Amino acid sequence: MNRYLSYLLFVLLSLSLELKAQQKYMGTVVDELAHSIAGANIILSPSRYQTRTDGDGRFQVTIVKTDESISVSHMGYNTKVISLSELKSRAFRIVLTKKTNQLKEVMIETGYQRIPKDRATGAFAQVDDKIIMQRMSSGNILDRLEGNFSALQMDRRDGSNQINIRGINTLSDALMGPLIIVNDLPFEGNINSINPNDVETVTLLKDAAATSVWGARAGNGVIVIKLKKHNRQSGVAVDFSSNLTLTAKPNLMYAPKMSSAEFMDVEKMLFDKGFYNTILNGTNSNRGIVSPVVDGLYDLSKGLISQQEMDARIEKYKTLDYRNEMLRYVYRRGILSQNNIALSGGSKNSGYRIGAGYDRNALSQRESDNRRLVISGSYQLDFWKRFRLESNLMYSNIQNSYNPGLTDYPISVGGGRTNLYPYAELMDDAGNPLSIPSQYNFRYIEAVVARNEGLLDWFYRPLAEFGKSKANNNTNYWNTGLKLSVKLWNSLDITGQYGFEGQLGASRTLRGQESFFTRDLINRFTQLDNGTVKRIVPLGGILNNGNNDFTSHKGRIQVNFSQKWNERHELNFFGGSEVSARSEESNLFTTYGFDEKLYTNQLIDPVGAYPIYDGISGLSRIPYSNGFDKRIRRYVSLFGNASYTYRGRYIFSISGRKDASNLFGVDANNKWNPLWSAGLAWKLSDESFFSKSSFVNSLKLRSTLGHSGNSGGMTTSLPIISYMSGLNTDVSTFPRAIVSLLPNPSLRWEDVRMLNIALDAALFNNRITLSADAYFKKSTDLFASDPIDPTYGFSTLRRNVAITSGKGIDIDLNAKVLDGNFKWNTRVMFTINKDKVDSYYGGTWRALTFTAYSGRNLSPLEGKALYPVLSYRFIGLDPINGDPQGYLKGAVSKDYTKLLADSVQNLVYHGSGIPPYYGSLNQTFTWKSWLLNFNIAYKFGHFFQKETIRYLDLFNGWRTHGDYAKRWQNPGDETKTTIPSMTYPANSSRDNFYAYSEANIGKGDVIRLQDIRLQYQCQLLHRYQIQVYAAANNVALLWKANKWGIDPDFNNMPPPRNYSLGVSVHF
Amino acid sequence: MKYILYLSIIGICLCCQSCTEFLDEKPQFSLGTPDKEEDLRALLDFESQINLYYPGLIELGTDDYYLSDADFGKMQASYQEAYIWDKDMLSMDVIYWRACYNTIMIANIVLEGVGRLQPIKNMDIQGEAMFVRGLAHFYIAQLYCPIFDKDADSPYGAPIRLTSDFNVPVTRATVHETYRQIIDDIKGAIPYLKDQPAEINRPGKRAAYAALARIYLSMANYEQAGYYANESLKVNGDLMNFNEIDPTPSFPIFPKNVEMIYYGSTVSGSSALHNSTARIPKSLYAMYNENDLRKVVYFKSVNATEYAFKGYYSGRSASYFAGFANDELYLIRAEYNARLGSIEVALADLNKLLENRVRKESFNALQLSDRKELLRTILNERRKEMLFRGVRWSDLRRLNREPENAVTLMREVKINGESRIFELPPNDAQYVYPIPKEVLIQSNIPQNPR
Repeated sequence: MNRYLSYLLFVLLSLSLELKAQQKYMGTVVDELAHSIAGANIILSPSRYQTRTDGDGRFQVTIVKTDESISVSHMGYNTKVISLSELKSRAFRIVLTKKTNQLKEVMIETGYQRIPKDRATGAFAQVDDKIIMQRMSSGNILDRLEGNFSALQMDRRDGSNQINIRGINTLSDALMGPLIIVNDLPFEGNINSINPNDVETVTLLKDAAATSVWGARAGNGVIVIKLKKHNRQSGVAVDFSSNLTLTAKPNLMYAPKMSSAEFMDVEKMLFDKGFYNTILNGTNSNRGIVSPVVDGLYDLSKGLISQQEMDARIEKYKTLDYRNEMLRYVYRRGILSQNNIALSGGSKNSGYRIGAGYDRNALSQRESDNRRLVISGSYQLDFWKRFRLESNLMYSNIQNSYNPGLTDYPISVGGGRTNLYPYAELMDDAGNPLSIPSQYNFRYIEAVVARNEGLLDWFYRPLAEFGKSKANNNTNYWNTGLKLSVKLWNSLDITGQYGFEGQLGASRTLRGQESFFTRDLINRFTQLDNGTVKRIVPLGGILNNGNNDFTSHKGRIQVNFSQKWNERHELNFFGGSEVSARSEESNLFTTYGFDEKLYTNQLIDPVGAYPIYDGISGLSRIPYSNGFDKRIRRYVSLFGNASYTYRGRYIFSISGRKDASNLFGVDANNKWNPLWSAGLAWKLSDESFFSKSSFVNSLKLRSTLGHSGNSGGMTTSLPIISYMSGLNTDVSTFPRAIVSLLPNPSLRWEDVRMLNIALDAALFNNRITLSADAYFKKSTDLFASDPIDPTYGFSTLRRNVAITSGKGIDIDLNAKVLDGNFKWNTRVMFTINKDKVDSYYGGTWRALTFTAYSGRNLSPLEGKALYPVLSYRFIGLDPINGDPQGYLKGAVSKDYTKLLADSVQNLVYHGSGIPPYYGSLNQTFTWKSWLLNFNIAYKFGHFFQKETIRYLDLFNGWRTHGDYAKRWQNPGDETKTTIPSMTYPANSSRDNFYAYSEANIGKGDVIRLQDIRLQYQCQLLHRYQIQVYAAANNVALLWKANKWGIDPDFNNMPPPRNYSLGVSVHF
Repeated sequence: MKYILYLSIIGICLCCQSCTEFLDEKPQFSLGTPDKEEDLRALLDFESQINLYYPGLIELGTDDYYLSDADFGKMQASYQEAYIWDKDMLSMDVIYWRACYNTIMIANIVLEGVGRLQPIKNMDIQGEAMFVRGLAHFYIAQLYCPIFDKDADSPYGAPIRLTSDFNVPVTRATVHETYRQIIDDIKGAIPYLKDQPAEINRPGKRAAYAALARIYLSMANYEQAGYYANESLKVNGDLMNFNEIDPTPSFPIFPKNVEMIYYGSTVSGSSALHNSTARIPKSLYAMYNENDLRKVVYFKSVNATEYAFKGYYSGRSASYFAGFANDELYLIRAEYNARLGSIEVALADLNKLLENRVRKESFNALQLSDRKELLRTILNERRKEMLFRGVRWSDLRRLNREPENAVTLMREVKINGESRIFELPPNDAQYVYPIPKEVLIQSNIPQNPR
């Protein structure tokens, strides 16, 4: 009854309103090019009625009073106010003009929302596709980010590309990478599946306010990659680009090595001292590997060859260096070609984009090729006025193929030899591949082959392996997403989003019967019995097949609320829940006797243990590496973010998130990990007291404080056991398991707390923009593999052991130095980042843990950097015999074992292994249609440990180093060199002491010319915009602080320079 | 607006209900907590840590091998220090200690599991875990603790670990407590152990008897040693006849042989002990007479004058065979009877072994009447039969306390071109290895007196 009554009342009321001179006005908002502007704010005053334009730029208002005026505003446009009296008709058109000489309004992508940079309190940095496309030499999007963001650093010292944002916030390598977001959802696939040509913007979320909404996996920063969507213009736009990159052969001569003559001198000395007697005089020395020179010296001593013959051989060997043959036959010039085409278009209510990219990369090792095909599409549809549907689809196919039988330099020949003697010959003058020892004594193999008992050829010829083996990895990846938004009210909408990722990865390695690997295995398992040959491992190839698949589902429901009240108050809120589940499965199979022509295989007995040919080893099973693995990772999260703006210049924001995961054994109650942040911003330049006429165009101060986290580690009250596959040495075949973790119920998630204080400014008529952030952070409960008393059964245990703190400054300065016909734009990026361990409450490590490969390990030491570079104090060489000298208990000492075991407190601390100061200078010159751009990168203030000669490794492992030539040889040399004399027998502690002493620590400071690009742009037939460009990457090391000529950014050899040439067309 | 609020509250509540289940899925399928009997069984069947963990250090200091100067020069410092009985052994590797305690930790986890998962169908896992724990403590006692002296206890016993909980601090027991625990574990295992386990990697009752025989022997408790040797031999006393063994393979003895009681082997310490490096001392090789088949089954010639060992019962390259076999028990029983004065009984055991070791056509049963001479012969046979079995170090420690059997070990090594001689006198402090630094750094247990 009540309901009817109120309904009646409502009808009456509306009727009465209708009677009062109500008039409908229909407006369209367009820009100067007559393109409609969607989402423009319409505000009537004084009635305060508000609305927005729809997708076609249209709006409707019902006006009662005639003295009202309409204010139309939109980001990036000048606000226009029209009074009703000006209107000639009730259907009208309002043209907004673009704000000129104003900074382009940057919209920040956080993965949850798009907010104007103006309104953000957190530390965000964003680059667009123009910058991403500048560096063409890599198809990996992450490779293109370095030098384009302050605070972002690539650590390539161990051969991988580890991204650090604002330094390190964890002590676990596995937790170190930033979280990557693609299409608003965490990305789980291979980053190579993303075609950089499809990327519109990359946003770096640096501080806690920016990352806390991403929760427990965002402790190391977040990289948000937004893929290109349609453009709203009607008609079809086509983008086409093609480019070619040539990469030089690797610089094998970079690492200083001993010459062949020097190496032979050492061999001769060792031979005279009887070093090889065990191998040479033994009757069963089938595994001992010696070089041709040692074999020759042995023959000489037995009178089998003449001195002249030996001298002639040595003269010949002196001229050889097998790196030349490796360069000539194993390596080639790398060629990367990248081709892309994209179509996009749209109508009033919908838009689409379809892109396809095909890359082919011929790598520098022969028979290694990578291919990538990426097809992507997106579609957006607005319907029923309030609904918006967005969908995207991405498919990528990556194929990598290589020859597993080819070895990179240096060739390791087994038997403890990690390198090959430098004068090895791999190819004779007639072009026939030559054999070298591998795993067995060469003369033994010669004798076995000469016996001709029915074994397969047992020689190893590295250059005959071409075409004999082949490995293929084929990865198919899908990423689809669907997003539906409903506008419930003007200020409230709900978004539901679903994302699917799937990957089918297949790997196939066929080692043909002709390959050394297969011949060797067949021969080892061959049994000879009175002339009959019994092969336990069948003839034919050995095929390994593996699969690595995953699927991932993610769903998100999000409520967005945005409301402005009378120009003073603005509230923006979003909140929701997210669920993700990932399941990963992998397996591996081995097949023997594979015949590639017939596609058949032979069965083997993987259980029985068989004798090995000639007793080279004991009873063995045939290697059979079948295996399975399945992993599941699930997350449930709740998140929320609100920001309130007062008078458009005071901004307050808060955000929070709770995550729970299925990480092993955590009680449901403890699985939830809350993280929060809060921020403030003040647009100083909008204050009335701030004089607009001054040289400061805009000035904003902002500050945030908050937490983000790192999940990881299993918390359980019971030990974790792990089932394993059997080993080929086992006597039984029962199921077996190991204890992989001791129970540790008190383990907690890592927490990173960060305070950020920043300033954004635009100066001199917006010709200079500056963004400077200072931050202070504290990471607590950091996990580390912590040493415990081995009496507990393990040497290390994953525990919360450390608190680290860091502080730093990120500065990003953009200046239009010249802005006329000739333009000069400069971008300066400067970062200070200093991390140190505040407290470490774990066990005690030995000194050697810190000095061996110092600065490359995350070894926590209180008061020191996270990658501390430490060394033994070095007191020069002993003038009598060239022994390295250290300092022990207040006295000069040569007791190397005691020196190595000295207390950590007595080590010399140099500093951090990663640079505390780094950045880049990016210069762009434009003149008419020409553009020249180059990027100079710099890193200062860090240290590194260089390699040196180790005599034990030289004698046993043939590992040489050019420092040998500079060693102490005669009294007096100690004033010229720090490299110890060669002793026989070698002493590993002496080698270690010198290698890890301060004599081998250098300053890491470098300045390098990273890349140069020259571009010419023109328009053909008024329609085709054409760009032609040439670029070079890894151009040159301009300056380095160390005196050894080493590029400390890279572990082995720096990547070779590459050149690119390309063209792109847009119409 | 209200509806949405209600809906989302209901939605969140539903989510929380189901997410407990959703989040209970295991992150990795091969991982788990030991919550089934099968899991405990699988832990004990992991041969690498149950049968192959034995410390190489127990052979590194013995006189059953030597290194050439060139090979010595190639060794890492930790091997060199063990080889020359260095006083400080600063480079002492922690792996030997850790391997034993890792096995002890697994055994403790199994025992804790048995306690938690009652009722258990096959209680042999309880017995196996106790056996394994006792034996691993025994190796620690041989390496890092002074020899058992029934008249005088010593505070330098082994840290006894009876729990996997790392919050229970590490402390050293006395030597008497250590041996009491070892014996309690292995005796306590017997009622649970199977008479005949399914595979040689699992211990049965005979393995426990054999272990007790070896342990009591090391304590110079000959009566108990003899008793347990007899307990095992009563059940099965088979011996391989070396006349039927083909000596040509690189490893002529296969693991599944009739003497095998319990399988154990190790490659720990193999940089020095592997038969490509370790040479047989000439004096030891000379102890075998021409007709002794062990000369060909156990040894291979390396060059004209030097020999290396190949007679591992594990049938594969190893540092030493660490399991139990019947030949050892005959020698223990013979030694017990010889010391007791039961000459005939002792001779019978000795001859039974020799009959299976000497060329058929030239075998003559030994006839000895002097107790001392018989004991000397038995000890010599023990040395000849039991090399690279992980027992020589314990024998040296034990026999050095008898002046007539005491020996001073000697090594000659060329260091920096000059020949140096190192000695290890009987009952020297070097017969007890220093506890590794890694342990002392973390737990404040006392170092052995050097």
